[in-house]
Amino acid sequence: MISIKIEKELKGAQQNFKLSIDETINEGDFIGVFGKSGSGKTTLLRILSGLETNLKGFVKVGKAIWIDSLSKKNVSIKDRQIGFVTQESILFPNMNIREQLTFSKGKNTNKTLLEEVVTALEIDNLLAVYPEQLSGGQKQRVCLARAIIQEPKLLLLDEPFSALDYQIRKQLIQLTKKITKQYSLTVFLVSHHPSEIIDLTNKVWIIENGIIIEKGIPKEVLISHL
Amino acid sequence: MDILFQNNFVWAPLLVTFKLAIITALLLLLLGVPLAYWLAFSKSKIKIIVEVLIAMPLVLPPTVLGFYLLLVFSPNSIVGAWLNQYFGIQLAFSFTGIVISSMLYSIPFMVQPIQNAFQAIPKSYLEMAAVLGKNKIQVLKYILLPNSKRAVITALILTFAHTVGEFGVVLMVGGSIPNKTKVASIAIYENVEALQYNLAHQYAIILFVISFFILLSIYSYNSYKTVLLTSFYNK
Repeated sequence: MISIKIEKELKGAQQNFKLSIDETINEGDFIGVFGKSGSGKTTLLRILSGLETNLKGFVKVGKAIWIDSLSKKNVSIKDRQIGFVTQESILFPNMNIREQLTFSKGKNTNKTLLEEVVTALEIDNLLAVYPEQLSGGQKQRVCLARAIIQEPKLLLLDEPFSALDYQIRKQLIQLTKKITKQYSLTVFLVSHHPSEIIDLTNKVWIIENGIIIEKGIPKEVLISHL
Repeated sequence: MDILFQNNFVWAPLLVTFKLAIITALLLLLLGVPLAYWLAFSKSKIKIIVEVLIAMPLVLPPTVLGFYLLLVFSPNSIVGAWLNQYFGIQLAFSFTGIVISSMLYSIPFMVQPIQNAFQAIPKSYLEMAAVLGKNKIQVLKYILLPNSKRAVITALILTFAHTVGEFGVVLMVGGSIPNKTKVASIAIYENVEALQYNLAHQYAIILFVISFFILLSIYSYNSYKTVLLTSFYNK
C-alpha cells in the first residue's frame, strides 16, 4: 500500500495554486497522471522522488515513511530507491551504456536482471557504446533499463515517450508494458496522450490546478473527459 | 645548446622555477576542485565575497599581494609569530612561503575554469545521479570531474604557466636567495641590472620556448577536441 497525502504551493503561469493530493494505491498499480501543462503532474513525481522538498503531509510506501512534515522526516533520495525516466534522455556522456546501467548499484547490480532487461529492451548489443552514438529511441530504452535495473520501489515515468516518433513510441510503449508487468512494478506515468494511459495503466488521475478532478479506470474516465 | 653553458649560467633558478610551478599547480588542484564545487553550487551569502577575493590577483599589482603576504609571514605578525612558535616555520624568504604566495596569486587560473565547467553541466545530470543513489562526493567524482576533464587540464596547465612567469610576488616574499627562492624571472631581472644581457637572454629564451610549448599544448588539446566534436556532428 502506498499512501500519499501532500500539499505544496506552486507558482502557476496565471496564478499560484496548491498541489493537493490525498490518495492511496496498491503496490503493483500502474497509475496514469493526466492533465494540462503546469497542473502539477511533474511536481508530484519530483516530490515522490525526493527532488522537491518544502511541503506538508506524508508519503508512506509499504511500512516505510518517506515524508512526514509533522515529524520533519524526509527520507533522502538515495534511500528511496526510485527509478525515474524523464522526457529528455538523461545519460552521462562520460559513461558507456554498461556503466550507465550499473552506475546505481555498482558491483551489487543484479546481473541476471541486467541481462534480462537489456535483452527485453533490445539494447544488449549497445552496452559498449556511448550515449552520443545512440538514437533518441535507443537512449530512452537505456533510461528505462537503468531505472528497472535499480529494482525500484516506485518507477516514475515523466512523459518518457513524448520526444519519440510514432513507430519508436509505439514499440517502446509495448516494451514498457511487458517489462513493468514482468517485474510487477508500481509505476506513475505522466502523459499528455490518452492512448498511452489507456494502453499502459490500470488507474488514472486527472489533475487540474493541483487537484485530482477525476479518477478511475482509464478508458472510462478519459473517454468521458474528452 | 652551447650558449646555455657559456659565462656564469647556472640551472638553479630554472630548477627552482619549475619545482615551484609543479608544486603550486598540484596543491592548487587539490584546493581548487572543492573550492570550485562550493562556488558553483553554494547558495551562501558570502559566496560573492569569496568569488571577488579569488579574482583579486587578476587585477591587483603582484607587489601589493606580495607586500601584504610579507607582512603576514613576518615573525612580528600574529600569524608569523604563531607559526614560528608552535611549528618552527618561518615563511618569509623561504621556499614554502613562495609556494603559498604563488598559490594565492594563481588561484583564479585554477578555480575559475573548473567552476565554469561545473556550472555548465546540466542540473538534470546532477538530479539523475542523486536519484541513482549517489551522494555529493560521488557526483563530483563520477559526473562533474569526468565531464570537466578539459577544463581541469586547462586550469592545471594555466596555473603551471602562470607560476613559471611570476616575478613580483616571489621577489617580495622570497627575496632572491640562490637555490631557494631565486626563480628564473628574478635571475633575468638581476642580470639585466648587472648589464649581463647574455645571461639574461639565456634564461629568457628558455622561459619563452617553454611558455610557447605550454600554450601550444593547450591550444592543440582544445582544437583536437573541437575537431573531434565537429567531425561527430558533421557525420
